[in-house]
Amino acid sequence: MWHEVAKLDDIAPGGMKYVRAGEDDREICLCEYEGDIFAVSRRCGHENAPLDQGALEGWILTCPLHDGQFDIRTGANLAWPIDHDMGDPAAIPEPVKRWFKLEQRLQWKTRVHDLHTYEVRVADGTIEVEI
Amino acid sequence: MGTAERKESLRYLYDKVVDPLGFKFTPDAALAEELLEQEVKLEQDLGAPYCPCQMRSRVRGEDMRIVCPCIPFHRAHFDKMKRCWCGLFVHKDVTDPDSLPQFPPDEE
Repeated sequence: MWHEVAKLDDIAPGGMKYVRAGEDDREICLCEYEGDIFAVSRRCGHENAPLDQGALEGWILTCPLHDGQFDIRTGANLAWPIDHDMGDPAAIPEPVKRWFKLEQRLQWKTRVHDLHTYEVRVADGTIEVEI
Repeated sequence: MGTAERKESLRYLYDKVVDPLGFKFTPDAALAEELLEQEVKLEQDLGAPYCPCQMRSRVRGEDMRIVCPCIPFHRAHFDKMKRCWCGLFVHKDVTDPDSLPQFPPDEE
């Protein structure tokens, strides 16, 4: 079923927009790339971070949390998450250091899934996605 | 993560970085493919697409200086050689990358 989710004017060239649609209120990230609109799951395939808060460079969407990358055209995962630079280890309190060590270990054990993609059509300046 | 897809995305992202710096991908297409493949493997194993021809020091601040494309960190050296260390990038006017001289940084 097709759902109207936004107006074409709502998205700047090279930009993104977060919308919700469907009976189960799905979170969808609309992306503009060279005049076309692509729709992918708004949640990162790694740890569910909101991808509309990330960066879109052409057709490559980078997650704001761990910098995993995805192809908005296919939803394919392009790059795994990367570790944050925590700076000088001596300046980090021991409990915080232990937490980040755990977080890092779990992060590398978390499988990164491809993003779900949705069919998109544009008619009379209105964007619709199929769910 | 598919190697072919990652190579394509690295090409796309690198081009946006190196073009304003006056560089382009080497005209040696086979070499470019081989180097990109090695970078994808390094990224999968170590977390970042390090330069395939450089040793990591395991000091993060230093290692970040050899993550491809590392041109901004070694600009003077690369400009003099008209290529980067591994040869993935050359100056825009280069048509025969094999003719370019190489020398270590201390001979800049």
